[in-house]
Amino acid sequence: MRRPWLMLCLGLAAAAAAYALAYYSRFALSRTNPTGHPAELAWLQREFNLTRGEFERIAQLHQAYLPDCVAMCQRVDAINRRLRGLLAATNQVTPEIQQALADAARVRTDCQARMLGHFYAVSRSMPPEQGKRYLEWMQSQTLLPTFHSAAELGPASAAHERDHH
Amino acid sequence: MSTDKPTNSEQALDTLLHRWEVRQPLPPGFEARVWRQVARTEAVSAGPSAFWIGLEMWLRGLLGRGLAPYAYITALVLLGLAGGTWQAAGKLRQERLELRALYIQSVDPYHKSHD
Repeated sequence: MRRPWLMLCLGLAAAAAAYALAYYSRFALSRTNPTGHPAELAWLQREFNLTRGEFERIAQLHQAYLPDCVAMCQRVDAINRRLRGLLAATNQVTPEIQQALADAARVRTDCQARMLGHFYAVSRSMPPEQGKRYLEWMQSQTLLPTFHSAAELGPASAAHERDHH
Repeated sequence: MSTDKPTNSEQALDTLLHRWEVRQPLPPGFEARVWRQVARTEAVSAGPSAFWIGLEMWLRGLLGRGLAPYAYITALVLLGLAGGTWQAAGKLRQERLELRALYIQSVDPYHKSHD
């Protein structure tokens, strides 16, 4: 009388084992990172199909760029703190606020120019097609604005802009 | 007059039943089905464990035929493989998005969180 229960349990155990096998083999295989570099760099290698040599060159560029990036972050933090203090102290656009906004814009421009330089250097270390794809992707993610003008968005927005003016 | 004594009509019925023969063959598995039905009926009237006994009978009927056990195991293994692959793909997709964001944060000062 035990056989039906045995079959039921056997089936469920087989299903669980098959699930675990499929899950861990797929997951573990895709997560292997033998390079010793940070996971996001290992991802770059997989995403852009880089050879070992290409990847090592890009990893060196990345390491060389990081101190620059940290310095830029500190400048951004400093200007943000200054601007926040000035904005909290008044309800008018004072000459100091104008100056701080101009400084913030200058810092942003400087950061973006350095970033772009790094992106070009990285893309040159990739095969041409992948380099082009990397560059387009990085530019869209970091430099190009995510908002659009009304004219770009289509007739409805253009009408809205006309009414607005 | 005693009521135990069979009447003429009862004796006639008795004789007729003794002479009666089933000439048509029973359908295949008829006997097993009858016994299963008997067991099921007994199980239903047995009390609180009736559900489990009924389930067992049902399983026995389902898995006790020909290739059914192999089909059952194969189906569950395939289901497990498909489920595992699907779950892993979802998790990898999520991880890929996180790594993309992490890479952008590592190179763009305006994507880092500043105080």
